[in-house]
Amino acid sequence: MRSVTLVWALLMAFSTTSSSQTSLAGLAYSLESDAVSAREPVGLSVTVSNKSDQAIAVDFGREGTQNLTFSVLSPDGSTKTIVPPLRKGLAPRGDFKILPGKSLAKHIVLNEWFDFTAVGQYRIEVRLTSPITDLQGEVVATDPGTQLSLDVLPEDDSQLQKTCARLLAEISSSSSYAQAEGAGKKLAAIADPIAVPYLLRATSLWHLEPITIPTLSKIGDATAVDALIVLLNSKDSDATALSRSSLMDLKGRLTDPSLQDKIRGALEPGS
Amino acid sequence: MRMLRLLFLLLFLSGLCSAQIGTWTLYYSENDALSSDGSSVVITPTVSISGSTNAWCLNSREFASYTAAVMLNGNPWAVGQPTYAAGARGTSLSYTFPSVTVAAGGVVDMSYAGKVEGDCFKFLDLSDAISFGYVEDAYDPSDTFVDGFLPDIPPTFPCAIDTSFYPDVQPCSLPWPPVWASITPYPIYSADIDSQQVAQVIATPTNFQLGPGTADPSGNGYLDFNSISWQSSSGNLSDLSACVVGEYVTYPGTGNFVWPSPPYQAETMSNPTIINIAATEGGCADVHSHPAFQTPYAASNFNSAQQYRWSCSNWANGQWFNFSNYTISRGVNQHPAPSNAWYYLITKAGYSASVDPLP
Repeated sequence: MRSVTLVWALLMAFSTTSSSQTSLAGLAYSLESDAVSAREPVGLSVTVSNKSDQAIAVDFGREGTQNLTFSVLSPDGSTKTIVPPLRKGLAPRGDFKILPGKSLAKHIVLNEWFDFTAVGQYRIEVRLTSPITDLQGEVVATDPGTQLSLDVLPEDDSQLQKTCARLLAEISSSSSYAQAEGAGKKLAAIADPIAVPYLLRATSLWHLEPITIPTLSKIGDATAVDALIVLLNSKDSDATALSRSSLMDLKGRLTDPSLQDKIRGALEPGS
Repeated sequence: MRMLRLLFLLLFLSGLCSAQIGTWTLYYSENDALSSDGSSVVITPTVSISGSTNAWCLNSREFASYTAAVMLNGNPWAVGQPTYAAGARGTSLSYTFPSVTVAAGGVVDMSYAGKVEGDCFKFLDLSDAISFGYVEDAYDPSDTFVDGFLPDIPPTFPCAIDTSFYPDVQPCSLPWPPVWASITPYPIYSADIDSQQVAQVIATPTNFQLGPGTADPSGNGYLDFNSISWQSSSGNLSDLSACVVGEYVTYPGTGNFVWPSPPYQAETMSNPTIINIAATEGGCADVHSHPAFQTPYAASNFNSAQQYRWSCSNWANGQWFNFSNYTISRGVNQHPAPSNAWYYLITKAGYSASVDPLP
């Protein structure tokens, strides 16, 4: 789908001690698509452009999201506002320096915190709570917030499959881990049985095991269990360890006796 | 790739031409020669000149006179002598040079001493395509062979010999006239022979620093390492685009770890916990938290084993290499009487955070 920049949020004057010199910093948010079918990933791009003649600093916070606030107005009229919760463990710091004339783009998948399964129009408000500064800490720009609009269309299995295939292809052809991780997170946002074969194949690429296996566990149907058993028996030690952990979790969570037996047999072969 | 069924021999004209030609190969085993921490690789270059038996029109003396002086990173490295069975017609010459350890991210520039662009060569047989001067990069098979350097040389020279210049040269069996060929400098030829970049070893993460740990100022007992850093062996973080840095944390027992409850709420952790981030970040944060506390408190002490590690998809088949190991110790205990108050303490690498007393 076409990528549409919905709002250029901010274009603010850059003041320095030299009042004769004025430059600009730009902050832009855009949805990667202004319409998705239900269950498809919703990607948000944030771009910071340094139009000044000095380096600037932007801090998105831990995991690149802790200094962002999101508010989503759903088609049913309910509103959910969050600061993305901080996960345990290792995380990118999220602070960046941007050289003059350069820009920085971040890509965020919103499905982790918001449910976009109801059909209709969503209003998404996003704001960077920390100011953009120069390297001396002087404020260059602040973000008043931006509103974006997203249309969620009825479920479309064919479209979802195409999206899965596209994301897997993007992972396979990625030239960097960061690119593969971005596509992997979008694929992992599709907690639907349609995604299972794609998640399974993506798991063996670019060390994406910690991203894809939790989604297989979340899907938790017979196909996902089969995929986890394949990974349990793979040569990838990380995939083996994480799939074992997921299967143990599923064994206690699933109520289907046949799936429980299958998991038990995989975890305890010969028992 | 064309077969190396090349039939050539070169003579160099002293004073006018100084040239050597052959098949250049840099061999190294990415598994056997890799250092245990993945930071370097030992390479043993071999230079070889190949040809088919009946094409060589020089005898052993001529072959034995060949030497190959190799410049390593612009400095004289070694002079190799060919291995050659005296009296036999030459089929190949090979020069094996001393091994050299190349740090990940390093570059080995290897070149023949004395070779200059525009040198001319005398071929005794040009009936086949000539292939030489290639660079093998074990990690990029597409780079391993460059052939057809001289496609424009007329393919009509079956065999040539100049017995006047080399009087002890044995004549070829075929009555071909002597032919001199002058190689026109070729862009790829010039790049690969005159300035050989023999090995570009992949950049890897290095110089991992944990940095200090600090207690979260809110007093929640979180232990925060906010200045973890590493560098690229090439000096440029963007060279680490194929690399990840991550943690692998194991908790007591097998399978998922459930925090003991009480004193914690019974939260389930994946065991192991694995997190990877892009190595191009050059740094990250690591916060060690805990679930909410739950009364009635009970003593609980356990350790988790944390490994910081890295992997590059273009290096050593993507295997993991260790940066550093730490033990994270957490405990909920009771102060001795008369306080009897419960407290939480977490320690790692000599840093700690606490909640004392627990609410």
